Amino acid sequence: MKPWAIRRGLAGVIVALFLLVTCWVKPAEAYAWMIRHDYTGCNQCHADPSGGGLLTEYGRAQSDFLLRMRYGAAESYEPPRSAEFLFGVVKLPETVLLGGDIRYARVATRVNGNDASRTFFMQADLAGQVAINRVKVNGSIGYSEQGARQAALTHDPEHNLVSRVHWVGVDIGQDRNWQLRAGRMNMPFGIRTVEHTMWVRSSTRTDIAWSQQHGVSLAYNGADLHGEVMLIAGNFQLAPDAFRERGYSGYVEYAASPHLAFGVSSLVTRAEKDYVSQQSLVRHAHGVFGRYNPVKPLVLLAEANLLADAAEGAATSTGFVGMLQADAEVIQGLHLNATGEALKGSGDYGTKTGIWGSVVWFFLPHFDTRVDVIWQSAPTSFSTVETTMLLAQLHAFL
Amino acid sequence: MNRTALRVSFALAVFALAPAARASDPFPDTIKMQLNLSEAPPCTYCHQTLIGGLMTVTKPFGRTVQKYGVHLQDVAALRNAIMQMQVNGDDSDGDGVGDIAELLQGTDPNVAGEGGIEADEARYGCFCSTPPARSAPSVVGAAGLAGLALSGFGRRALRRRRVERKT
Repeated sequence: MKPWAIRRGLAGVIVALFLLVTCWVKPAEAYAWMIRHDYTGCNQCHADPSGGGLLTEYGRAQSDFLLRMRYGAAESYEPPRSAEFLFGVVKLPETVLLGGDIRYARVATRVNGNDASRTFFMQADLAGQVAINRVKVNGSIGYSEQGARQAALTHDPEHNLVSRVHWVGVDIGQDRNWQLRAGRMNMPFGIRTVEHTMWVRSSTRTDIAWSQQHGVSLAYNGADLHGEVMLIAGNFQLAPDAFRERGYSGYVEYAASPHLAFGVSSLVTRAEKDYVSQQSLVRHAHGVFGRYNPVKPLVLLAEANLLADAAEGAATSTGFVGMLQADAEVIQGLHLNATGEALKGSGDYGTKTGIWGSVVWFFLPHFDTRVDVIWQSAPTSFSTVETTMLLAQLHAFL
Repeated sequence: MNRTALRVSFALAVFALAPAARASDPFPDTIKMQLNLSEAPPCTYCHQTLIGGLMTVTKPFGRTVQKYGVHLQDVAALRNAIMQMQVNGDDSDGDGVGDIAELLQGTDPNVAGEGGIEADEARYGCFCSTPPARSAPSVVGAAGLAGLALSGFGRRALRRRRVERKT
């Protein structure tokens, strides 16, 4: 077969796959507990220098060696074909990364005794990256059944095409430790996690589901130190311009040992008219976070941030948000998580508290499932709202 | 077919056959009926986004409603809250026009002044400053465009192959 025919065939498969994913129904892997395996950095396994999303070839291999349940299979240092994109059906050139995530969920909720439930596609994204020497072009496109409108390309209330990230980057330095990027990117702040509704992410608007912003970032990944700072130009998938937040966000994390890392984060943004509060708003979030692996099966993650909202013509209101999570991998591939979180947002009547109990099972190559039981208590001026949520997810990555 | 492939097939089958179901959201329709409005108010009068959802009641009007003890799916409490708000003249945006009066006028009770939703509602999407008129869901249009691109791409590849054969 002629080389051009192979290229055309490959392109056809990619486009067909995109159509399949978008018509049928996000990767949002970001597992900070990989410090268990001495991975204090993120860029070994992810295309994003601060982690999350599209996997590198090395990351795919580690997902097979370290992440999934192996059912007694012998250890191997040769990554299996099945760990590759589409289980290895399509062999990609070394300069191309492709991936995709489909996440299907059922959520049942009880609020002060009233029940509701729904089943929906949380995520259906295709992501890719092409590298030409030091230059990288990266992007994702997907379908959102509900929500994620801040990342939408189309204009409907529901059922939108979304692009969470799209950027061009260049590796800098002899060891390519630095990366300068421009485009739409995840916000560099705190612990990057798949649990996008966790208050440390949602209240700071730094989740990887839909809080990305357009801007320019500079990331550094060294042996013991890594970090990223982003100058935020605004979310250009949101209008009018008055709603767009401008400012900076960044973090630095230091690995004191292969089993202990801690860092600081800082974020300041200003919107002429905040799209939630409908008034001119300067938003601050500043805090610390850490990851600790005292014994192999156990990883502790912690984050605490000070929040401050300065609305025009009003006094600055302050609050805080924090979380502590214990991840126990009882056998390879099966994780038990316990999380406690607290939030006192600006304008909140009191401190909200939440407890998560989660089971995450990486049961097959490219597949995992998880169940979360989440209890939250939110005081209001009238009463306390108690919410219990059962969330079940099936996740596949291509 | 090996065992792994069988497991993957099974998981995909379960995944593909899983039923879709969505919760009903009676609040906007309840307000519409009670106040005899021509259209149900948008979810964003109370919630952060149009899909509503728990812990997303961030708008001033939504917080006022919550003060009256309204929780998920509690239609009776919502009806009572509307009555109480009308009696008390709650004014979430402090513009001198009560919340219920604003709902009846068709203006946004969260926005002082005229407060029409057109002026203050966030718009989303690519080239979002100029959203196109919607005759069909734009995701369908986008998928159609991708299909056209694919067919054009296929035709071009076929043409090149023919040219190559001739030469």
